[in-house]
Amino acid sequence: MAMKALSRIRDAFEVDLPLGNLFEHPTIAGLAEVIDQLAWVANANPPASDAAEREEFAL
Amino acid sequence: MIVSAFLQELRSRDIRVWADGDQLRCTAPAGGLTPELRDQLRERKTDIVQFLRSAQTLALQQRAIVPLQPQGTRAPIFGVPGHNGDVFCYRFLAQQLGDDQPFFGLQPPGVDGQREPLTSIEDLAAYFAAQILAYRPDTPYVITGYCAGGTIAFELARQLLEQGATIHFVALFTSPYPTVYRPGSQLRQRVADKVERVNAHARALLSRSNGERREYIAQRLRDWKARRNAPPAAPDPVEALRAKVQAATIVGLRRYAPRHFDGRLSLFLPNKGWLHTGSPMLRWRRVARETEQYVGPDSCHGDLMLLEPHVPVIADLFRGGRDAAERQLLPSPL
Repeated sequence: MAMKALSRIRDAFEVDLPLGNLFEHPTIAGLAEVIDQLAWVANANPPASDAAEREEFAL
Repeated sequence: MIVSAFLQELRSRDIRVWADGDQLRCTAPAGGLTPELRDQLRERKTDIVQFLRSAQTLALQQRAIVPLQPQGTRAPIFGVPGHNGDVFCYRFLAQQLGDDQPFFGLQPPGVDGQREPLTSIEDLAAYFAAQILAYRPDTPYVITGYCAGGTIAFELARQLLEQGATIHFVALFTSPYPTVYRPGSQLRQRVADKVERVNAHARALLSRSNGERREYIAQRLRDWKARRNAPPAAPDPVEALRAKVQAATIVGLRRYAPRHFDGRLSLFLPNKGWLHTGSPMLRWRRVARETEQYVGPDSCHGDLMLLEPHVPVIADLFRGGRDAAERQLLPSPL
């Protein structure tokens, strides 16, 4: 059952969610947060514009 | 707007953010970070830093480790499942061992469909060892293996010991020595199974009257036809992945030659029928410095060992062995 749920989550959200995360975050809200974070990491790519034309800030 | 949506909005404007200690840093095209966006970043800084840190931790997590019961203060158990990689084979044992016994299943690559399964026992053990050492670097461990996973657990314990780890207890549940998986042994086993089935039918026929024998044979024929004519089950993607892992593990088991293990192996046999000379579960004695046996009740068979109703008995045996092993490792009083 857990493996089937995991498979459907992977297909629906296109994230590589490990089985352990289902146990570590057993609520819908917790799992949604993990999916958001994994999706953020998975979609990381370098900036589109040239480094010379960019500004850097620290907050 | 939730944090992830806000970060997505920034990304769509080619604005990149990352956490640097407690600071939130960002880089944007010249003039791209408007005063409004900068104010929003300042206001939400704490939430954004927390989100980015959690995301980074998730990206680096040990994906093989499945926390079946993560609480407790005892040395954690890391359990290798049987050859199909199903860590839930340990769920009842983890429950029986209670809240003070952390219990983690080890899921091999391939079960998730994201990676290819490994076909070498040494590689599987090295993968698990690296994940365990990264997940719990400073603790003694308890290592278990179920069925074919016993061979992987053996190699895992051997590699961890070589790397200087402390291992309190190594338990192999109904785990045959890996030569059992070689083609010759498998063929012999299949023939033995067929002979046993023929014998079982012969015994059943002998214990019946002529009329009952006819009915017995007719019923077996009806069962056989029903099985033959049953529509094929719909393909199950999870089972298909497990079958692939199983096939890869069998390849590894056939190639694997256990090397000496400089520790104690605790062999958990389903019942005393497995205590005979030549038992494939006792052949581990050849390659370990020390072994001990624990034997389940007469009605227990290998497939049922970690299931109800036998798992409470097996859990008691396990507790006894684990506690005795831990007492031996304590420094003796002066």
